[in-house]
Amino acid sequence: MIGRVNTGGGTGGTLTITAPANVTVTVSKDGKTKAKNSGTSGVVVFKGLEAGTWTVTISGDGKTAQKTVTITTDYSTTIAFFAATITITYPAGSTCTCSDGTTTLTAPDTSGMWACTVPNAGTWTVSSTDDDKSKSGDIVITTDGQIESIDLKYRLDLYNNGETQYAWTGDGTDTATELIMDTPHKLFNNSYGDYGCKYLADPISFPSGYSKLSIRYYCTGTAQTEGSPNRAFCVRSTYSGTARYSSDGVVASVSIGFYTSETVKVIDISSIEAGRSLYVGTFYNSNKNISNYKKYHIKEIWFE
Amino acid sequence: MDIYIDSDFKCHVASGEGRTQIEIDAFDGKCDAYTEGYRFIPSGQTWTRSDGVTFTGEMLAPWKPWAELDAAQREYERERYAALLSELSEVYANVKP
Repeated sequence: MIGRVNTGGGTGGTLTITAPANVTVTVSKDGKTKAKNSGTSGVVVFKGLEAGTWTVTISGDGKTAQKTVTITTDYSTTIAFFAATITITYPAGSTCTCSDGTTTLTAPDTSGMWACTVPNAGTWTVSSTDDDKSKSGDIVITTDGQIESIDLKYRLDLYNNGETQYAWTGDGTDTATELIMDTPHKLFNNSYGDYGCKYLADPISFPSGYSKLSIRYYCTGTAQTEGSPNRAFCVRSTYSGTARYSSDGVVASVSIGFYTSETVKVIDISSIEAGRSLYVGTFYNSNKNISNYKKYHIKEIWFE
Repeated sequence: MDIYIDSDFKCHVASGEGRTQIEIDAFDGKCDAYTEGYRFIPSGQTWTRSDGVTFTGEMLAPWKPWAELDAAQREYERERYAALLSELSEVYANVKP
């Protein structure tokens, strides 16, 4: 029988072996061997054994028996006056840090999941970087034992200066780097023109983890001098038929006015659930005469 | 239709203290539950979300889960349809041959 393993660190472990009387008891590991006779008591004690797995062998009367035992001589633990946990989800493959401006902690790997223990209260900035992509967010810690979570995601482009994986349709002839939304030269009162929309040809499944939808654009042509056309960047459930030129089916929207310099407009999408099948695009609705011409140059559309 | 927005730009169907009247057609045909689940930021104004992100008007976006608002609106439309059918049935019943 193999008996107690006394551990305690410092000069190694003590292994007490209870074996049949008057047999040779041998312990070995990594080429090192120690042997003793079990005597009349059958109890043998080996001291100063290093941590690890030892092979114990008894032999006598032409018989042999063997087994292994693992000796642990070192233990570690962490204790602090203050500890809070920030559960961080970040894009796998990225470097993630957490800093309060004084102390900076770094994720142990790039797996995309990190239970970060912070040692003091304060505002901790969690940052994820991967080449030229980065995202950060702040977590306010006030209490020992507090648990918070944060999900960092890089922006998701629907359109970026000509690059897109989606089919866009609508009105206007796009260039290699811009979606073009033409506005009509003239509309008659109470009728909708065939110009002024640019939108996804097919709805997308709204992605998770994003709270705003943005558009970067600029305008050319002359500013509207007559009437008050309603141009908007929107999320909507339909673009069919005349709905294209009205607010029917609009889930969320932001007006996009006439700017000759690149400008960004943003929609709060934090209450639009992921998985919903929705369109993204622009729409134009006017029942006014328009005597001047302007064009919208869409550079980027993205989730963030 | 007229709606009323509070200091947090949340929409209401009734006036009240601290609410601003807004004329808007985005909620035409929408039930009260749908309308009051939205936030409207008028042109020239800015709203700051709790995470510090700012949004400028005119912006219209749900602040309640849109799935709930959509479900409420669909139920409202089903009830309206049933009521109209009932009214039509009465009309046809009273039409003299």
